[in-house]
Amino acid sequence: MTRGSAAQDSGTAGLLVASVAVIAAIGTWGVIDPEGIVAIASQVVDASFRNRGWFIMLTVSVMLIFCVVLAFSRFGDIRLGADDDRPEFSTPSWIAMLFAAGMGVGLLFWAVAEPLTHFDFVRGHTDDGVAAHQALLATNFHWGIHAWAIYGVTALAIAYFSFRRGTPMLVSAPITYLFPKERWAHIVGWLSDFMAIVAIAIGVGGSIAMGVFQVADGIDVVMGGISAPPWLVATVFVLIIVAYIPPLLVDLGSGMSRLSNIAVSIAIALVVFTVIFGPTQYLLNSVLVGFGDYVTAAIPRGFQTPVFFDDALSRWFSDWTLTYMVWWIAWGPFVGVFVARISKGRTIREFVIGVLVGPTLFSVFWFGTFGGIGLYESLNGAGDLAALTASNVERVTFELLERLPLTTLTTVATIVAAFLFIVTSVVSAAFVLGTFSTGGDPDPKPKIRLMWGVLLGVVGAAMILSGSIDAVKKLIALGALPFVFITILLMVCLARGLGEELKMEAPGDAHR
Amino acid sequence: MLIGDPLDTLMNLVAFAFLGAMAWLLWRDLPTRPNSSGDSPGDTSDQD
Repeated sequence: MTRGSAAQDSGTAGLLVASVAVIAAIGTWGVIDPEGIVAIASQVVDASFRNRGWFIMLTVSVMLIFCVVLAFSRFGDIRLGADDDRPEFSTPSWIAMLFAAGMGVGLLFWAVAEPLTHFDFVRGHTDDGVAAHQALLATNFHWGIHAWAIYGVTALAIAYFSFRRGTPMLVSAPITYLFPKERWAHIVGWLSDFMAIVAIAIGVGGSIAMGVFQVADGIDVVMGGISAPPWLVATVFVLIIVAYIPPLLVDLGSGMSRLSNIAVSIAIALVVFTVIFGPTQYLLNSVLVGFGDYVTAAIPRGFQTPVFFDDALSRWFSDWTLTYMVWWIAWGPFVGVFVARISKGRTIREFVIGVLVGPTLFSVFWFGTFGGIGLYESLNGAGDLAALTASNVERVTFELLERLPLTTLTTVATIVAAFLFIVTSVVSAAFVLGTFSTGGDPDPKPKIRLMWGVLLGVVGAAMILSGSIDAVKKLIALGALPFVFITILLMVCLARGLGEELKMEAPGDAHR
Repeated sequence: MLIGDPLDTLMNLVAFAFLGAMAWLLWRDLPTRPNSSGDSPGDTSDQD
């Protein structure tokens, strides 16, 4: 064994030990003292958002511009793989997989609740019609092209260096590949993998909590309750753990992607069902208006911060816009590895257009429909749903389904979809964490996967004990904040790698 | 007083220092790597 490889092995072992220790400590702290950890997370996150909100918004907007420039320049012709590689999946199937990976259970959770929460807040500042426009616009902005630009940059950096330069699928790989003999690069690389692991573990733990809250409330609705009792939340949590542990121990091949496709299919069926059985023309108008507002305002909104807002609006901006942007950054390494894996053989142009446009259009349709029907109820009905967002946000989607036909069927379908989204997310996350923590092993040992599965469960339990979705959002933001810097570094490495590739091609070389 | 909070200022200076470091990484020459002489990344021969 060479001195270099010995140092690398000890770095990998150190990464595994350090990341497991930190995640276990955070999880245990959260279980023992949930209020304490949330209080500290809130302080740190609030201070960071107050100080550097501009930095986060600028980063996200620059990432979007970077993606667009890559797609429409000569870099767009570069293929993610060998020049004769071709995509493994059809484009519609690829976009469906992107969407399932990137949004998952949050999509079901926030479908109605988020537009209505914004509507309820904004109507205090302006008239209802303007508030409805603003509510849809804010939701589409949070789930739209900026979110996918964050995923796109992370995935592109990992995919480019892995498929064209032969590096392992690690966040650190672009950095250590470009600067192989420089000590700072190895230190920063190690920290990048470490921070990616922490961001993924806390982000996925938050998703577990969100999914558990929603599934428990859905079951409670079916049982005729008014709010999911703690024993039901605990039972759902145990059921989810029991469901995701076995897949970690065996290789299910494409089984997990099939489950994920089922979850996406249910989500698509739900949105189609709502359009057909709900106030159809109102919802189609809502989708169109939401799309129009978004297209005209998306880019300028990416450069907005609450500098001239009053305290209430500044608070809203931190709690929603900044939190979402950091949330997507937290999911970046996890989704980035997955998106990279399924995108081999595509050109950068195909990749950017597919990743940015496909899921964004689906989001606009999704929120235009579910947000639209929630707004319809608020503007033309009793307005109960908007009031419910303040008291029991988990329940809003189910309360909406109660106002449509076939309630039991759609409620059970939503519960099943949420359950499948969580299980597939946790299993995939445990694989990615196993890969990251073992120095890039593409098929980590079952015991490593199991260990990460258990730790994700502990973090999920801590999130559930924190008691509210707002607390979960704070904890996710805390885990993701340091990763903002790493995402920028990945973008710089990608720019250098692509620039180097063009330089390496002699003038007149037309092999592509 | 129009003087800002020192902690805010410090945190923003850190952000600026980071952006400066990124600009330097974009500007500086890349070191020579053992496998970087003349191999085209898109060649099928060195890809799995």
